[in-house]
Amino acid sequence: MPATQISYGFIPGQLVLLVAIAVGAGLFLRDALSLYRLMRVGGPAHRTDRPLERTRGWILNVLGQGRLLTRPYPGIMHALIFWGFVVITFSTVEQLGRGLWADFRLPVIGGSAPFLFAVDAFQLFVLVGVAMAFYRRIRVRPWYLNLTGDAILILSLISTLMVTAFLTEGFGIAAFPESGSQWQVFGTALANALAPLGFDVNRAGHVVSWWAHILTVLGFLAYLPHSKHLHIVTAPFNAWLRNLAPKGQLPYINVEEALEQEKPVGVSEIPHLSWKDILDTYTCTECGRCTSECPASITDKPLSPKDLILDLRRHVLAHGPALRFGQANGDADGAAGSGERAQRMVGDVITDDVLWDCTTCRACVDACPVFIDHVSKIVQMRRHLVMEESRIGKDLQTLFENLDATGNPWRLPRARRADWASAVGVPTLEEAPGADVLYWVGCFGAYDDRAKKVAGAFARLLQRAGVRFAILGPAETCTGDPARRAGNEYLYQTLAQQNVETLNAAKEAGIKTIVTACPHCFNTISDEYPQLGGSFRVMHHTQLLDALVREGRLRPEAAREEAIAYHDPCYLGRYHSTYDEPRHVLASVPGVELREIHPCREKAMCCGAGGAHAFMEEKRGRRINHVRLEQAMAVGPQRIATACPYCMMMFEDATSTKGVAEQLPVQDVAELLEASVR
Amino acid sequence: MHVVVCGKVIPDSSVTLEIDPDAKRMRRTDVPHELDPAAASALEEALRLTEQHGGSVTFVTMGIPDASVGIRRALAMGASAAVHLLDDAFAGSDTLGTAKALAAAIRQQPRFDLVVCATESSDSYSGIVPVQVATLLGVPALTFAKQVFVDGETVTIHRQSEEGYAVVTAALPALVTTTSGINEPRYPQLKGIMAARKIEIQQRSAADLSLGPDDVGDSAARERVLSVGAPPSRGAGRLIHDEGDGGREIADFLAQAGVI
Ligand SMILES: Cc1cc2nc3c(=O)[nH]c(=O)nc-3n(C[C@H](O)[C@H](O)[C@H](O)COP(=O)(O)OP(=O)(O)OC[C@H]3O[C@@H](n4cnc5c(N)ncnc54)[C@H](O)[C@@H]3O)c2cc1C
Ligand code: SF4
Ligand code: SF4
Repeated sequence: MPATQISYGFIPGQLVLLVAIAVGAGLFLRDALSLYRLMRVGGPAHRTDRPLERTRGWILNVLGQGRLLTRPYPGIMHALIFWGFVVITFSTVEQLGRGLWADFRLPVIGGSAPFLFAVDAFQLFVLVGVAMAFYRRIRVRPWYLNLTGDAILILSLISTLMVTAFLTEGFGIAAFPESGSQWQVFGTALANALAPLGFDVNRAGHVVSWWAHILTVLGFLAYLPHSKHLHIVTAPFNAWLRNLAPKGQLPYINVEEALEQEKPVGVSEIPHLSWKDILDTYTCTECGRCTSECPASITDKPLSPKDLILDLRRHVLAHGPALRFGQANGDADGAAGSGERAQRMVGDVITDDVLWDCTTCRACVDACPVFIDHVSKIVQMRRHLVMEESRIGKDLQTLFENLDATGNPWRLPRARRADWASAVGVPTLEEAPGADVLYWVGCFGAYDDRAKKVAGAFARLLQRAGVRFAILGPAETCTGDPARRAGNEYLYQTLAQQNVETLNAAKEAGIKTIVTACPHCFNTISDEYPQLGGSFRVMHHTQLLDALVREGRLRPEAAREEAIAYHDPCYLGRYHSTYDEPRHVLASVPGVELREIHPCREKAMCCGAGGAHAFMEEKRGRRINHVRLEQAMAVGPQRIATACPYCMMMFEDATSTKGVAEQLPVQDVAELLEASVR
Repeated sequence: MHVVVCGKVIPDSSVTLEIDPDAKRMRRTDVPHELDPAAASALEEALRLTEQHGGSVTFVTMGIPDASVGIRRALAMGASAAVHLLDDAFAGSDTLGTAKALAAAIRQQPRFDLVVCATESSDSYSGIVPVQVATLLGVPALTFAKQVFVDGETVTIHRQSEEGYAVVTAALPALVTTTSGINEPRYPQLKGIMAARKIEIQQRSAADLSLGPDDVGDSAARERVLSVGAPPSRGAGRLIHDEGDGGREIADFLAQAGVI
């Protein structure tokens, strides 16, 4: 018997409930609506294509809690609470309905045995989940999780909801046994315990706990828009609206056109963010998974991807409304408030140091359970720094000037690009018109002494396997990856456009596959060039070598009795899900024992060179490559293998500064294979 | 304040320079060119001065058609106009010829308060042109500046010397030459690069400057290159592998050479 059947003085219970609902839901709607309007201040983003794929991922990751469960403890904890809330929400709706009309029942499930049982069980599960959460926040205290008042309040509210729900049930069944069902297992048990208190107490207890429960629900609702718990509303949308573009593709912008029309080429103010970026900031659950895997955060640098998102959220909430107001009044200049100068979003709220610390390793994006995209925001803010402000360090300036002048990061002569190849007898496309594979050498392979050895080993393997291949020689130029990731979209497009033309011509000349030993070139050609009209079949050299070994065209025979630790390059692993091929190649060498570094594969830590960091001085915090080397050394390998010239450089730098270069050589997968092939 | 910056556009430093034995000159065709880093510093200084005191900067260069790369760069950095002295008649000019052409171009400017040059160019660094220009213009030359200040009427520099620096002041208009370490030239803003494309480069021939074969070009050159050649290559060094007696071997070697 619902507590609203009683009148309170002259006021009927239903009326009290109606007023409470109106206030709770009204407050929620008012604030939610203003957040929605604020979101619309952002620019466009197209996120409704491929609905089937979106829905599939949504089912897996929202309903199925897939991403969350990649970490067992917090995963199970969250899943218990999430699934509990899904079930209990139906019961809450039914309770509110019955509060207004005594005989209200949800269609189909209302009052049914399985439903009653499930609600009871899940209320208990939620309590278990909340207990796990309290324990984690108060006792375990992972470094990337902050113990905020908000978090404690939310957990307390959830506990209150569950406890009052049980009490409502228990007191209710004790007072009115006919209202209960044997399927309410815990409710009935509680009722049996409460029965001796007598009808009056139980009835009063029921009424009090019913109101306590319902008012907590409504209070919670009103509080949601002001809390990290808002994610229960936004996360399902955010997951469906996630970015489905290739992982390695940054947002395209027509730089020349934007400049001519005096539009921004980077992000420096709230309206430059897309509506989806703003939704991202609302959705952050403050879980810290991103930060816990961020190589910059791990090495004590100012960047923490979680704080980046939260700082953006604070900024949007603080200054967005004024913008919206300004827009409504036709004042589009975007100044937030009058009087003293507002904080700049890029520079003050998000500092330059934070933006430059990112290696674009994508660990954060992959870790985020609610599909927040940190990297594209960071790069777009870098675009502002580089193209609009020229606020860059000397090392980046040199990099840009060198790329601009000579198409390589070191300002080495273009004409020397194929010097390494003449010793190995590798022809250029001009010299070998019949080739069907194009070996894209990349700047490292072409100029860097260490990477040249890898290029030689790979080329000799191709020769041995009878692959008809050629290189571009001086016609090749930097793919533009370091420029693009450092925010110099203009320079990137200049370089890339030229390469797309060259590669399209090569395709016409009969090239079917492009293969490269550099994951960065691999990513740029495969994921980014389509934006500029170049779609190519691209392979990483480990993929091709794996295929050649499988087909028996390369036979590793010489044994190497060694424990080898393989380091996953970010742009091969996380960006292109290529984990097995390099391992297969290594394992094909007789005697090799593969040791997995912790963490590895999807969770592998960056070597520190991505996002143009190969060409920047690491000024803050500990050295990323040293930390990664320590992780590798912890599994006691005799050799480190990798499949990226950037990683090679970082590891060799670390082994030599740590004085272990002799004991712990670093080699490319291709070199190890070549040594074994007879 | 209107400032004129004279700067060269030179073969890119990534190029291995070659000498044409017949012409006795550096090969300048078919090699990528860049704005001389020394000139970029001179321009940077001029831009900073006009940013502080108001005014504009005009960039002047004498060079081959490929010099336009460097001119665009100068415009992208912030020069608001550029003059390219482009004429086959200029080919073979010596320093005085170069200076005459530059001075004539500067005189054609509606007005100038200051001329800024790099003390010496990065490719052939004779370090003579600026003072010749100053002489031809009849303005004082303040050279080797490691700092430059202007106030309405005068320019003051800190003139680098071996012991320290001298403070030198002159009335405007004047010419200043900057040392290479004076500043860190800016990376041009993209807006600048784009805007630079829209600025029309003013081309001037010898005739435009009323200069004839007696003033500029090979015919006017009073300096003659008699021969050019590569510096004698040094013999291969001797590598001593230390097998315990490395120190002795080095000592013997030095003793033999009469050094110790
Ligand atoms: C060893 C040697 C041999 C030479 N032989 C000959 C020869 O055979 N025939 C001949 O005609 N000349 C010859 N020259 C002179 C040559 O033409 C000069 O090098 C040239 O005119 C400019 O000289 P520079 O770059 O050394 O000037 P510097 O005096 O070093 O230049 C200093 C500054 O003057 C300004 N400046 C100089 N040149 C220009 C320019 N073209 N445009 C704009 N600003 C400029 C720049 O600010 C520059 O930084 C010779 C020079 C040298 C050093
Ligand atoms: S991409 Fe990597 S370095 Fe950048 S914020 Fe994310 S985790 Fe940190
Ligand atoms: S951005 Fe994602 S991973 Fe990082 S704290 Fe927020 S919700 Fe967690």
